[in-house]
Amino acid sequence: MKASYLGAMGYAERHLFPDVWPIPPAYHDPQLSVQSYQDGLTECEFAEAMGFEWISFSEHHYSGRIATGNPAVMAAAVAERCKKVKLAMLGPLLPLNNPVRIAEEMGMLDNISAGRLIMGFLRGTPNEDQVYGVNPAEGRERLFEGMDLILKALTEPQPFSWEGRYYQFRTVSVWPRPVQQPLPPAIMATRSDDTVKYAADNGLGLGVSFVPVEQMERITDKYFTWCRQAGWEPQPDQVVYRGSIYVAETDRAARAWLSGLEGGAPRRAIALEPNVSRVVQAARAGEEFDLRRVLAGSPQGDVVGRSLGINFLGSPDTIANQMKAFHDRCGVGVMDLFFQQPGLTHQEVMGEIELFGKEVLPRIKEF
Amino acid sequence: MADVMPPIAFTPRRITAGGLSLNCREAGAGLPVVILEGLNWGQSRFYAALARQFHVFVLELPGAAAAVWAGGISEITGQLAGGAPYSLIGASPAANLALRIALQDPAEAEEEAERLEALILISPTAIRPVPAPASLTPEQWAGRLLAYPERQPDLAGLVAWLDKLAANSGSGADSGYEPDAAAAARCFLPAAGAAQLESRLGQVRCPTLVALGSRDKLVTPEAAALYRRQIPNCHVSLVYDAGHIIAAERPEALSNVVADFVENRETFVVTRQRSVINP
Repeated sequence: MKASYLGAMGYAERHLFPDVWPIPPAYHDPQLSVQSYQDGLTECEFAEAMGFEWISFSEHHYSGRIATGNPAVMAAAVAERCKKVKLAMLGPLLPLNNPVRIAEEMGMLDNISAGRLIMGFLRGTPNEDQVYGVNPAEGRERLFEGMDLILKALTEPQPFSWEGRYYQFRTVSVWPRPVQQPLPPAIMATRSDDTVKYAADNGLGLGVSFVPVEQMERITDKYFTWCRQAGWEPQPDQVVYRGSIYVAETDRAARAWLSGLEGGAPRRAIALEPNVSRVVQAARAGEEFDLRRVLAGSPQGDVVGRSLGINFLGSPDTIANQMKAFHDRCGVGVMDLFFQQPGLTHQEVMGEIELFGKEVLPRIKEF
Repeated sequence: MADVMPPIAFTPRRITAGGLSLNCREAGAGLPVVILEGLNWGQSRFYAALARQFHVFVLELPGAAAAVWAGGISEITGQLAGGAPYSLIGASPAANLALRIALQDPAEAEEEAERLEALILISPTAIRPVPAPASLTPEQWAGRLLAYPERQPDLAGLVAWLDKLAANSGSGADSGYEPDAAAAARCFLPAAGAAQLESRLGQVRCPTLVALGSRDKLVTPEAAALYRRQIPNCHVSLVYDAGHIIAAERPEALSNVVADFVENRETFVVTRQRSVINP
């Protein structure tokens, strides 16, 4: 099993943010922000030094908790600091973005990093649908068409035009081509049945985030079944789990940290106005439904309306055992880990990276 | 999807030239567009959309369109357009014929060649087709021609057309009923001389649009690049989520790009749609 460090680049004073989304730009201090990005880059370098094999990037907008609205920009910066790790774009939100632009970014990143890119395709959390004025009801179809267009743009050797349902481009001729041929590895980050099946039918890896191991097992069972039906078998690197982590010297210390948080749990990562959330979810599902009853892996779509707490909490032994369960029960080959819990300083995060690197990583590499 | 626009009435006529006598359907006004019709299933919405903008002539070809002599057809197409410059469209088997018309020796057919303003090849299988499986039923062929056969309300009509094609393609000297796959393959795949056709692509002189469905199972992925690279003034348009019979699955997208190309030829790459939301 490999470990991946999520390069969140969180704003240093994110623990002072109000419990809303979007975070007003008034909370932004330029000097603190500059330092926060430098700290984040340092964390990525340190993670590489401690043996993490991937650095990952996600796209989140209008918040300093994960301050990478353009993950390609961040990945390019990290590519110059970290020369060994894979750069996992987990990833660009296809419904929001121009697929041809995404294809260009992927081509550039693969060249800048000399062939270390891992591509990811995501629909995005419900709040992100508001960012660029995309109709939530169109998100799934835009995702599928975007993926097809990106893959064609990165492989078609001659210029072409594209007559899609949501995208029309009369000239597509992406440059540069990826270094990795015919394509860099690609991961579909999802929980929904139809997109998990799409991944299986199209030879894409699977990425799932923040769900308990029981739900992960249900999702990967379906994925592996559909892959077999499609005539192929995923490699370990093609099954990725993203989880939140807090590792301490002892289980007791880890629990003490958790109970010391306001409310005894991490604050909600993305808090939409309730009515807004309901409208977005209804639009995504094409029907009225209750956000709280949507289960991961259902056809209704991705649901990250509430923080699901800490997925890995405890001593190095405890965490290694927790991760082993994901490996043994779900076939997870890459653990993509979010260390920047609210309230942790940069030095504390560095301490966790070191502890994980020294005490957990050697064990999970044996799985 | 129901066509919410008023229906277009095509007027039938008979036309004779070059030793051939063929049925034709005519509608619309404006720039002349001649459509060579080898497959008359699933095309009506596409034809109607074009007829709302152009003067459309749908030339009905015999079952094995690839076997019709290009020289005779080009005399007919020129006559239909009344001697004026025109755009020529061919889909699937008829696309291969349209390409052969465009490749006629200018010394022998100079006038016809000069009148051809734009060539539009829809799902051409002239070069690099996917080899057909050894034996397929008409139902299986129908599934091979479409990305989503289950979405077609008149799939039975396509199956019947393929069945009729097989029944009518008997050699005469034998039993008269050819195996289904062989008959359909001869219709959709190029006639003998495909390699020579590929080698002559550089001789096409008019602006050319090649439209391919992104889920076409009859055309190899490298075909698009070959057309683009070898035909001097060629543009390739991929119609997302459509199979081989693009007009049946995404008629609006196909008519949009074809109409734009007829109107603007190679300058169709310039976006003319306004994107102002509010002044």
